[in-house]
Amino acid sequence: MKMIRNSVLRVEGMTKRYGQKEVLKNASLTVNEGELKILIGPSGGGKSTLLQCINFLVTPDAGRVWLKGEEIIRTHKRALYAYRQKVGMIFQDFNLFDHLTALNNVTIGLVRVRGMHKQEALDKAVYELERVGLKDHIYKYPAQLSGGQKQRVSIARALAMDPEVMLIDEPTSALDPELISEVLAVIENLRANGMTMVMSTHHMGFAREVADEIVFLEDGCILETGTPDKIFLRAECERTRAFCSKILELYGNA
Amino acid sequence: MGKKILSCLIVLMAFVLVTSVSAKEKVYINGIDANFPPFAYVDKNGVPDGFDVKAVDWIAKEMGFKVTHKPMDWDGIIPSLKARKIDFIASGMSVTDKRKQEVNFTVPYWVITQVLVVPKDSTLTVDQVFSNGNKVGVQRGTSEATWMKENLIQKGKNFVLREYDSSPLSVEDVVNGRIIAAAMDDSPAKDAVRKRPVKILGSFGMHDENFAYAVRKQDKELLKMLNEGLKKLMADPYWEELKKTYKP
Amino acid sequence: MPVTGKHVVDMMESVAAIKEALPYLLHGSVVTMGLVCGAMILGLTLGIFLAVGQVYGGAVLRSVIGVYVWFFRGVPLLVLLFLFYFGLFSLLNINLSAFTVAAIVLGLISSAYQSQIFRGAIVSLPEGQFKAARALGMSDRKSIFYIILPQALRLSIPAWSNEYSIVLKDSAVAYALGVMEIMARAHFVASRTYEHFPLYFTAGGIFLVLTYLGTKGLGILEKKVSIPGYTR
Repeated sequence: MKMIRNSVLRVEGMTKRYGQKEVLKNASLTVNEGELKILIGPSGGGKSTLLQCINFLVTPDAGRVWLKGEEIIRTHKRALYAYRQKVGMIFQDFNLFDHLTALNNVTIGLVRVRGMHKQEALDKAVYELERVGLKDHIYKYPAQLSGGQKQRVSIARALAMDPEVMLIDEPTSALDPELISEVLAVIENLRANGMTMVMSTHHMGFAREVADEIVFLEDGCILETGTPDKIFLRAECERTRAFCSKILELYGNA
Repeated sequence: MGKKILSCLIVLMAFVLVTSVSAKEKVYINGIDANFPPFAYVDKNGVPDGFDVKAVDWIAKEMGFKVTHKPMDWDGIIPSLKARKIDFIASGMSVTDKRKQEVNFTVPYWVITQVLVVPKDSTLTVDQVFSNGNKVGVQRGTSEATWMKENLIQKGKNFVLREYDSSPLSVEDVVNGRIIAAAMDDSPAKDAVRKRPVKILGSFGMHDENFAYAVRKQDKELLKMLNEGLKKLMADPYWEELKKTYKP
Repeated sequence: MPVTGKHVVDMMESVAAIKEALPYLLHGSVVTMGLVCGAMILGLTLGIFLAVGQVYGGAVLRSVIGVYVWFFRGVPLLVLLFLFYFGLFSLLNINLSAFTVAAIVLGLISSAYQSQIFRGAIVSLPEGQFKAARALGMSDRKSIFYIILPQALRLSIPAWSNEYSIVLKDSAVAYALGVMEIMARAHFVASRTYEHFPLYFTAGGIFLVLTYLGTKGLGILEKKVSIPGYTR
């Protein structure tokens, strides 16, 4: 019997316009506990925008979000900040704080946002950085780290806040090929430990392996959703089929 | 690190503000043009000195009040007085009708003649100075500057008036030839002659003027006090001593 | 031009005059540095607020700041000094010393210039810095204070050092209000001794030394707070 899992994140009717161009059209999705939902689709299709609308980094023109049943009202500042603490975000460009060491990148949220005591924050930060395999690099500055290491720091930074859900925006697109696997390994590890995640990526092989559900976005619309097998082998929508075949052609089982 | 810098900055700022808070006890401030030897100048230790400075010190002691001397720009000295930045002006100030409209004067204590200063080897006459489009220097904001504009230039004399921050500066330009003559009171002229290769050509038609101290129109008590002190001083042997020391 | 005995005597007199006046002039540098420090600090604190307001504020705030910057950059220093000393403060019946007024005016002008330095630095930071801060749940104020400003201020140090040398030179104008800084003192001694050139030369030399020391000090500060590998 399939276990009924609780819904962690519910998004409805996300719409975003930049001038005349509609970048996101009425996108909706629900993520259940422990699920890994992967967004795929052509560049400019709205994946990044959707993720950033979910935590209101980008202000949507329409759309509602519920976290664990509670709706988030964007204009209630304190509630918004509290919500963002529970939603971890990983960016394509890492966005580490360049003036802080890896360690301080992780502690700053703990101390300044969650109000933890310095020592407690340090202990937790060291633990998270060890978890992503960066024990020997905690005193390094971002400029001294490789791309893969930077992304892992950013994952540790997000994890330290004990989020309910992680939003991961093409985490390996800015990385050199040899550094990709270390980041994907960390993400797989997170999944194995039951973290709820929404991720966008171009890595079809990875998506196929680990995703619970694949969501195909093109021109701001969610055209199709389904299990990896369904999407890649028996896609209903013609656009989906076209995209998938092209990607599989280029990347194979990357 | 950031906190340390911030606290240093706050301390520094507080220091700067505190050092400018004025004292509680009433000290009268005499505004002086410290570029006007021998009446008012600053000695080598930076202490105000001069004929007027020492006279005021004597008067203050005699009449029982405290005084400090504050060097400032001559140009702005009457506005400073009216704005209550200083309390009176004892610094070789000539009594003129125009000034009488702004301030009240004490009894006069000195008579001053206006003269021209020229290079030592100059052979020019006064008339020759004020012709040919020659450049003549004068201190800005002085009665002689006003008189020359109203009585010479406006009456058609062909010369250019150059205004300077101080008489000594105009003397320098006489020495280096930028101007052919400088107009000033005879006392600083005598001082210049002692220190530079210049000579006094003579007066140029301007009437003699009196020096007096200036106070705000509403300070009638202060005016009375200064007048009394001044009269006492001029009757005292110290007056002769001052004249001998400063040779105004 | 042959060097005559008179030239030698003149030179010796000049040197003697400089030597005699030097302690007095050097004391003036304390006053000058007081002006400069007061002005730079006022300029720094106000400049940061103005810059943050211009980058992150609403339309009304930005226009107000724009007018402020335009005014204080557009009116000559001397005019502002007299305006404030004889005008504004007299009208408001606040009796401040010439030194304080000069420091305030220099500070307000500097804040206008400094705000543009900081604004440029803030804007040069990648948008992602602010985004990541917000994503962690930081309020805008915290994001600006803990993430944006520490980086922007570091980037601003070279331009700030430049501003220091400008304010230092501008401080000489305070002599017009009667502040006994270096320039005023040089002038007083010159009026008494008629050694104008040697004294102004010395005054200029003192300013050069102060400029050098200041920029050197700020260079050391820049090194101290620099982040390894940080470039923009």
